[in-house]
Amino acid sequence: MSAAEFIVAVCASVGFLVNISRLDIDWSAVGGLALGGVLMAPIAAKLVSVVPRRPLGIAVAVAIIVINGVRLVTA
Amino acid sequence: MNWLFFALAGSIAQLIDGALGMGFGLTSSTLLLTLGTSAAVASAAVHAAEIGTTLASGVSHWHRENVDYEILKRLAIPGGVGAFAGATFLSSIDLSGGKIFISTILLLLGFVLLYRNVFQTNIKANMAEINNPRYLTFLGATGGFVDASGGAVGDQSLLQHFWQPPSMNHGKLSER
Repeated sequence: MSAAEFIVAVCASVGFLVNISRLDIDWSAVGGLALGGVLMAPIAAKLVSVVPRRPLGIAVAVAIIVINGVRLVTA
Repeated sequence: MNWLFFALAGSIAQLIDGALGMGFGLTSSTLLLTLGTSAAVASAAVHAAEIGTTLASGVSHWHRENVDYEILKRLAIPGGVGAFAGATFLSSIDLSGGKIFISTILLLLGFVLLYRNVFQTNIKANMAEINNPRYLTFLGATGGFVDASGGAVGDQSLLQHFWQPPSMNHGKLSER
């Protein structure tokens, strides 16, 4: 995460806030995501040196392609 | 009890992001959509959650005086404008259209991630590109728009990773 990403996150959130009446925000999703991310962050930071980066990257990429591909086809 | 599933999604995404150095937004958006949230809500939730994580990390980099303000300005301002536009766009299209749009972006970013891990290993930093203000403006604006409409802060860094040498990971690029 970086300072530029922080600005982007803030601006995106402001963009969604402006349109909040059109959205049905699920606050349990916001809180849950943040909570899970914060709790896992220190563990994830330690895993950086242990986990083989490329195989994991390839596995995650394939999973994301399959999940979103299936959703597109069945949409 | 839904928040438990969301917390699980957040921790999985953080785990992957920690290990790969990127992909929080990409992973969490995909998981949120799988849990049945709409495209705009998924993106809004991811970004709201990310305000906290990026703030914490931004402050720690700022403390260590890691920030190059010139690069930050050139990336963050067009990035912010692009992100605002992307958020507005995603909020205003209808639900099924939003789902198709966000799934397409996530799918493409999945291919970017795959490409990067299969083919790109260790390309040297291209300082000419990083020092080119127009290039940074373009990178920030497109990254911000795709980021907000694709529902993932990580996507922006993925784009940076795609166009930028991987050796300069996203923390360094904007905060050197």
